[in-house]
Amino acid sequence: MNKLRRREALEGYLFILPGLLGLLIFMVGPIIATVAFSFAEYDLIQPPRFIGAKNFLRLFSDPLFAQSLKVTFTYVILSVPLSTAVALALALLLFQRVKGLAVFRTIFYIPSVLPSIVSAVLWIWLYNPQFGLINYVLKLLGIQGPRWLYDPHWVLPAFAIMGAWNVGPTMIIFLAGLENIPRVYWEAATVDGANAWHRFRYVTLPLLSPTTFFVVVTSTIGAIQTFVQPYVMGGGGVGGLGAPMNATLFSVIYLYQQGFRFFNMGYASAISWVVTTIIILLTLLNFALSRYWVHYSVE
Amino acid sequence: MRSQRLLRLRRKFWRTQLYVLLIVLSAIYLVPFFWAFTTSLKDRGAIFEYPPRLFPREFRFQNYLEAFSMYPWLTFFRNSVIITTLSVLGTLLSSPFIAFGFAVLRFPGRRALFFLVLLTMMIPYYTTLIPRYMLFKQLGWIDTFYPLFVPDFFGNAFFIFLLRQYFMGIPRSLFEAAKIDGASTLRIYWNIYFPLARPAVITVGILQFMTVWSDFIGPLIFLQSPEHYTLVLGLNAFRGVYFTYWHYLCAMALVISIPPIIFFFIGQKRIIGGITISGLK
Amino acid sequence: MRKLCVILVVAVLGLSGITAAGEVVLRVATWDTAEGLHWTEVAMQRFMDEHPGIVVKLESIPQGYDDRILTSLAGGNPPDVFLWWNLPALAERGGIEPLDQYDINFDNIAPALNAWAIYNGRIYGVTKDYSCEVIWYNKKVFDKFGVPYPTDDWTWEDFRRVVIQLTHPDEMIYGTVFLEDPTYNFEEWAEMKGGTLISPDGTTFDGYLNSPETISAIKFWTDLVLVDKAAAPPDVVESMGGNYEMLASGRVAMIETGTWFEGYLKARHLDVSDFGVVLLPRPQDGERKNMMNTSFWCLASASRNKEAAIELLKWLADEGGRTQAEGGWALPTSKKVAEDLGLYEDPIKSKFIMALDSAVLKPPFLRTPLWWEAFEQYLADALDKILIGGEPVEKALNWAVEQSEKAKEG
Repeated sequence: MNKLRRREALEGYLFILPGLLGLLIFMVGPIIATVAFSFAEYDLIQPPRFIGAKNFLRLFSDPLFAQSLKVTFTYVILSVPLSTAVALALALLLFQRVKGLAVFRTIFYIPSVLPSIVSAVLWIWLYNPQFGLINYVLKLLGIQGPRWLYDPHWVLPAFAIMGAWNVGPTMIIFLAGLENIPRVYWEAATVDGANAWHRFRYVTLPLLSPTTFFVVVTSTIGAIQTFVQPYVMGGGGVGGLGAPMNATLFSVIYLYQQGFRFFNMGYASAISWVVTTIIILLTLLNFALSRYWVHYSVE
Repeated sequence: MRSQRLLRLRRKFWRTQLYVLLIVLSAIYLVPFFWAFTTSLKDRGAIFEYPPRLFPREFRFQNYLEAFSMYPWLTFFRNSVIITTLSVLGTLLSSPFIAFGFAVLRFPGRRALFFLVLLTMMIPYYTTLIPRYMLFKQLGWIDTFYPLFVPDFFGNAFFIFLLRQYFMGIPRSLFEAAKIDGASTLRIYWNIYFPLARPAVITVGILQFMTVWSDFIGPLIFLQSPEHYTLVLGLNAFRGVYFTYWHYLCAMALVISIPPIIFFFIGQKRIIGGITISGLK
Repeated sequence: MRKLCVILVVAVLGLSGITAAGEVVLRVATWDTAEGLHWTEVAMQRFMDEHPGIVVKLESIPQGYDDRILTSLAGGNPPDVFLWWNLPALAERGGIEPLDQYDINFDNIAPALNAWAIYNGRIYGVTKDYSCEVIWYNKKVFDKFGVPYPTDDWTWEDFRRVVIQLTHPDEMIYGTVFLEDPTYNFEEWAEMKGGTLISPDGTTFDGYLNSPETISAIKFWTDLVLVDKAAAPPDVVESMGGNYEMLASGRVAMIETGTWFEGYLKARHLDVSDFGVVLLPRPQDGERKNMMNTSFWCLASASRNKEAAIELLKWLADEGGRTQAEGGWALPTSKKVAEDLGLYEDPIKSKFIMALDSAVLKPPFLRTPLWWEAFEQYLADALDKILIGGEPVEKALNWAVEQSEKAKEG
């Protein structure tokens, strides 16, 4: 390697050094600890007791774990495309030259600022089968609305819709991405006779792809780790966490329940590592596929 | 000439459609805010009524005063401000810096190390909560603000990823040209890339502000003494064991939401300002 | 930047409450908030007045209480004294200390309450307050349909009759609502019939959950929902604002619950005298049994201020809940205090105190720490299957037994 290259490499390491340090100080210890926990029986009070791979073996035959995976991935498939599309649509809408742009953007961002307990209660009421606004509107359209949060088949779509409405942060990420696209390209395309749709498909989308990639990857990672919504809102029927009939037993809810309710922190850690492994694999997949549709800067 | 007029009419039509759509959507998006506001004005008895009325019978603005006097909100406010400011500062200092390293500079193991940093995003929060608590206890940081902002000075995986994507969208020729001109890498970062990434950096600031301002678990677990509590933790106090004081809760929730909204409003105006710069080629 | 750090460090140190030498600071945690917290604060202040040299630092954690306590226990940093309700879970793992070895006057506290603090023969907590399950009824609904108010010696048959009489679907009024908590409520109704949910040693459902007595108790209630259509199922209850709101507004005539309803009425600005309390009905061939709901003050094994903590616990046991009872917030734990305050004359409060005499002494979750993870959820799921899925009672309960056996093997 020549001197310039070596210099650049050294600088590279220096630049990322804070990140690596942070990893070392704040993450390495806890990560090693949780890996150790996953091979142990740990009830939070007595010290952990090594039991080998028993936790992992248990995972294979645990119907609730299988259920939690099913719930989580159904939700991912429902919510990631929906949220991404909605966030992008809103960002595009708000990218036009409209009067009062700043106000509109703020309005769409506000839902994500309200503390989650407030919006959770509101949505519980909105989804109410008898008195809620949503079924009321559906009734006006002549449709008999489902029982939403009390129906195992509809509770996940209900959450996905909530998630789609709560896209403020994603929307502004797309906005930032849109801002970065040089106006020149759109102007050139218009001159060439492209209409709005063409401009979107052949200029906006490709040039936005690094941002879109980011959104898809992080939304997927986030969706797999969903916790707050089901924790606050799940509970139709007689059961508690995971109700109705375990239809909201997301993986992180399940691991929380095992660790913090049932004192099985070892098992919870094992669940956690399986989930993390799945996330890693999915992310790697995303990265590998990215070369087919993500275009970085034009060199 | 006729085609020109047609074009203008067409544009006006779509423009009006756009406004209508935006207004309808705004109404939908403002529903929770509106509901929280009307709840905050309700009488204590009325909040339990079912089905809930949209408009309170009487407008009890004194709910705000009552809620305010129930807890030391100014202390909570001060705590939240300290923690959030430091956290945002740390994030803005470290994350773009680290992202630049991953995006622009070339060094062996670049991809692997980046993935390692991303790994932290892929581990559920509750998993590492107990060991992190123990770590912070060893450091003597329990019941202090440190666990809530110090880690941010070392970068945040989500934002590093975001900014890396952004930086990678800037042609590398810029970097190489500046290098040839004799600029040091640090200068290139600070004087060229950082300003160019202004929309993304502001976005990061806004998002981190919102996240830390409304963080509940962190303060819940790592803080002990009531005088260290943050605003969100204070909000928690309105949730009783048997029933919740919704009117007070909504009142203070709205008040607490104001700083992030203001921050956002100011910040996103600056994002627009980025247009002229990226138009430069 | 550096200056900011220095300022911050100084500020934080200043806030961390370095106390004067010689003073012991006790960290005490509770899930009380607002009014309840106020009375706890008053009690703590009285303690401090009588014990100069001990400072009580009260930590109120209304939400996320379990998370905070468990994390601090795992980190070896728990509060010295804290409120808890599921004592076996912590006692079995050594997180809290047995208190019978210290000079604490447990005789001042009603025996039924102490019974719930016992695990493996040792007492682990000083009862803070309690509630008993009773039937609250809305007098106006009874008056409207000309039904006489129930009396304490009524039977299950009387109960069912009244429930059906008071159900009027056209006016959206139900006689009662389905029991809200599988663990708490079904144990008492099963015991009234001579059955129980789980074996006395807490090891299995088999032979207990699916015993004829338990099945008949559960069937009594599911029939009220599905056959008589006189008890509102849980999802309807929730969509109508919850059982408390339903009773307060007259959409339901009777509900089973504890003391907290009185607080709800106060918050709703409703007149308590429009409502009445009666003890649970007993079956023709059985005795009344009712559940309790208790919370206890416990001593953390990892506490570094045990002596002072024991002083506090001693004082609390002697106080018998007087402070909170004087404030009208909760019942006292000592019968003597109840007498002193004239609570036996109160038409509502007296019932709860009387209910202590028919209390379930060893509920399922005190028989085994595994109740919640290996049993309760199957019972809850089985009830869902019956009410939502329409399965026959016996089949669903046998399913629960099966699932629980399988889970235990895992």
